[in-house]
Amino acid sequence: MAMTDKHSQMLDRELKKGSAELLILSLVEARPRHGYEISKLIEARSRGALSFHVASLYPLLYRLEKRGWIEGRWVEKAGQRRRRYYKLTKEGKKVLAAQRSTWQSFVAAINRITDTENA
Amino acid sequence: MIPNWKQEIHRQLANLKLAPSREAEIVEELSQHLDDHYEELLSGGATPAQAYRRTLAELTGSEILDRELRRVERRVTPDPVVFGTNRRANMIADLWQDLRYGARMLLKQPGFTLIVVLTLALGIGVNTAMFTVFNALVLKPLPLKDADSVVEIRGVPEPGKRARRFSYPDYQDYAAHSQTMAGLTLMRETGATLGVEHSKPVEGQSQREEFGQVSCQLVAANYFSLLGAEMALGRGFLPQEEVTPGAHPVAVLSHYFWERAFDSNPQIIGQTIRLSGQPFEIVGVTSREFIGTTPNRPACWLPLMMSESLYQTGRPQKQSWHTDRLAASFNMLGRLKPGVTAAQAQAELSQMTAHLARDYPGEDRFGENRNVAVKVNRAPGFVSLDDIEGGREVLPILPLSVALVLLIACANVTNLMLARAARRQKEIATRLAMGATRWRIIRQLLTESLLIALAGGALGLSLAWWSLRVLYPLLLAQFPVSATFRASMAINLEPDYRVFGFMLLMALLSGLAAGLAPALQASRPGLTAALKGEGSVFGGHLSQSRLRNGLIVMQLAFSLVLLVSAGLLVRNLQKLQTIDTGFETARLFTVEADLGVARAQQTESLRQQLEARLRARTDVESVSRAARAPLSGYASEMTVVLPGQVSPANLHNTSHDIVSPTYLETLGMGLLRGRNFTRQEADSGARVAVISAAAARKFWPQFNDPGQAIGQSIGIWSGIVADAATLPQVEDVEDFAKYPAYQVIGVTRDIVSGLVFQRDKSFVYLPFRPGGQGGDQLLIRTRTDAGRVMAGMYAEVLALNPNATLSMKTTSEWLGAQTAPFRIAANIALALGIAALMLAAIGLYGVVSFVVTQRTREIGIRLALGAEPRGVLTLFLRQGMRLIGIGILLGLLGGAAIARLLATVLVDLNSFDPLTFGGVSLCLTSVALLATWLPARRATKVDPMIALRHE
Repeated sequence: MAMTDKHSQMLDRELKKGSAELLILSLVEARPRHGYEISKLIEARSRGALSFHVASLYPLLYRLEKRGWIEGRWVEKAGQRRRRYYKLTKEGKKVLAAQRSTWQSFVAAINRITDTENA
Repeated sequence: MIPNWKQEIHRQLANLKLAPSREAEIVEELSQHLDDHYEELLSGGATPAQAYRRTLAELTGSEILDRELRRVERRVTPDPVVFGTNRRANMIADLWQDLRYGARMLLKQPGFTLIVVLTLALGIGVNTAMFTVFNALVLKPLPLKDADSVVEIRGVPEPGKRARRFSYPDYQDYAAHSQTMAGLTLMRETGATLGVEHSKPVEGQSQREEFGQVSCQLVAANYFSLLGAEMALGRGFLPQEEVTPGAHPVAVLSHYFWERAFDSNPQIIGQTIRLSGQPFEIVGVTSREFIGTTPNRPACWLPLMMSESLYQTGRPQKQSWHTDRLAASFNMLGRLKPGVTAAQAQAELSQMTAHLARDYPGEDRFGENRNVAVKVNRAPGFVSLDDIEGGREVLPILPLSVALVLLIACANVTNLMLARAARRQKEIATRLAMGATRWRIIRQLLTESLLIALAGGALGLSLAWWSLRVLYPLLLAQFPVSATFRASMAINLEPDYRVFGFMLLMALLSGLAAGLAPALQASRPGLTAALKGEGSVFGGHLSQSRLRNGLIVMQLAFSLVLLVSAGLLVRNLQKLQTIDTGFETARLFTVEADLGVARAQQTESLRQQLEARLRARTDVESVSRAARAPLSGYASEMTVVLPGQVSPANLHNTSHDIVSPTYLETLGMGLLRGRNFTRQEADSGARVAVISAAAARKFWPQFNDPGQAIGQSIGIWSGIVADAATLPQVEDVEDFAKYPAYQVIGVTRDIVSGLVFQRDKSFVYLPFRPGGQGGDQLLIRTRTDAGRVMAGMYAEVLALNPNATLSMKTTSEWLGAQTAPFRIAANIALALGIAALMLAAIGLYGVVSFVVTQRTREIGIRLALGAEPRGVLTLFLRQGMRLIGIGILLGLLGGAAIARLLATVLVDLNSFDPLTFGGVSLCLTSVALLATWLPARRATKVDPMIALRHE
């Protein structure tokens, strides 16, 4: 199979640093979540295969926020400490859709390769 | 209990230098996360110690947080009011911040700000005022159409010779052959007396009519067209009006003169104006915009060919001006062809000049009438610095003086800023402690001083503009000339971009000069002492007080220099005003009545009739005639040879006049020896002479008694004599018999009749023969006030001949005209001197006050230890005296230097006049001592207890 240059570059980049962004954007798509919740969800849904340290999670959140893809807001709920909730912005939604399809084509490509090998 | 993670997070973030609010946010969010994680570990069965270790591992052990956050979080800009950051943000923002801060600091101390701004405004103002005048006269291009292509052509003489003008034949050659010039034109300034019919009452003097002199210019026919002058009415001159001498008596009026003398009469074209007795037909009026090429606008322009109609009576006139290459009396102007540079034109015209010199070598009789080259000045102003022949030594004194005033002002402001910086030591130290660089502090302080200087400059500019508006007419009024003549002197003193630029430059320079030293001093790191407030005890830095004292000494010295020049000029003026002229100037006036050159005989008979009528009046004591009015300025010179000494080495120059026999009586000059000439001798043209005692001493130094001069012969080499044709040709120089010889019959007392500051009082009086040369002026000594007789003159002359022109002036006015420049100079010097004295006094006062305040604690200790208040006062006075003493010593040296420059204008006054030098030194010392004593007295009133608690 011959991949175009464009595709190969994109996949390369996304593989290196894009997957983490994709994970976070997907997790805040349904509803706003705070940082700890996001890290717990990633750990839980990957069944422990993926986890984020504080030191890498928060800088990533701030970067996404700075790009305008997510938006953090301090929310105070009765009887709780105030927490910072991140929600997906309009632009974030577009980015998420694009990243998803990139990811899916990546996975599909991987699958095709591995399937062919196994066939 | 949950551990507190925040401190650890802060530590991790420390290197990032985040904005405090942002850092707090991150800390809160992260510590929450860690809290949650910790609790979860506990609930999962971990011991608190295990949970703590594992939670902390999330944060530490790697540089990830720091690295990742560094990427995301940009460095923040600090709050604008926080000073002393090291950031390298853009200069404009810094500048704006400095400006705002500076303005705020200045407004916080309105008193200080007001004083420094006013001080600088005074210094910058006088400089700007002077520059405005210089600009108007020298720098501004002539207000002509397309002024950039207009050039002024000047003769460059042989070294050491006077710069020459141009003769008419030379001009014709230049004009005919030049390839670089689109055209050349000629102009000569002259004066004329105005016909009585044009006279109006003098403003503010109902009794007297405004008669008199108006300025005229003789110009080539192409003058107006070449310079692009537009006419409000009529036309300029036509080429045919520059062909035959005397053939076309036409005139173009200047716009202002048309307004003043003819009430802007729109029907003026074709009417007649009478100038020096000669009627001229008015053919044009220039537009308001065209004011000519000289600082005083002429009343009218006349064609060159009418030169002889206006010649100044009583002076020899070269009748052959239009053919004589030596009659170099014209200014030459031209317009460059497009694309030609001034240098190209200069090269070409200089080459032509060399050719002219080669082609007409025989003309070069006296060796100085020939230009060796020409200089071409593009877009010339009214006055070229090359024009200034006299006063080259004196002129630099004015810019020097105003510069000194500005320097004094700057020194003053520097001292005030030093004092202020010392008070701000804590503020500055705090900023330095918070990490501000020294350069940042210096920049901030300099911004403040520049702000002050700019405010001072703006105020100075308006001060200059306003004072020129007020002073210029006042200065002009010092000259006893008619209002019309004064109106012609209006130069445009409106500030333009050059004046504005000059002001800005002065302001920036003084801002730097006044602000740099305080900024350097104040930003010198001496942190701990300053923060603890120790800087202000016991006088602060030694170097600072040295600088302060140096500035005080400089101010005192400079103001003494200005006071010396003011003192000398005032003393000089005093001497001039009380000068003994040797005759009574009150009740004496002169009249010049004229019917024009063409009607010499009628003019003579008019003058004789007028003389007779005046003589018959009871309020007139004596009437006589002379070629010139006494004290009307430079007396014409004659050159005398003595028998047996006929050689160029033995010529005697002396002033002279041609006078009627009653002259000595009218002036009231007694004879020392011999006798006056009689009417018969005068009428018959007898060659007799009355000379002054100084002339006798000059001609015959070997005689002990002036009486020995009686009977001696003097030969006339050159000068005005009754019969000009008898003067010998130059070739006859060796033979005394060829000269008209006059026998000395009387010796008079010396009088001052020419320039008041002329030291040589030698004078020769030759008899006036009615109908012969001279006798233009009627001298009238009245019994009562001269003004009343003068008021009647209009009617007297009108009754005799309505076509006459008339000008008259009292002898006191002539004297006043001569002393006016001295009066103006003395007034300006005095004003500058007083300003300097005041500034220096304020400066001294300020510094002593500051030192007293700073040393309050020390004084308190001294007093507490038993010192006498008197002793404290003496302490300050002694220190003050030391500065004053040094200042005066240096000032006297500077004063001596300026006195040497002034020597040429001092009349009968030693330039090192001890009275002046002593007087101004004393004056400065007393003012300076007072300025020290006043604040020092406060020091003695210090209450020791309060002083010790001070700070």
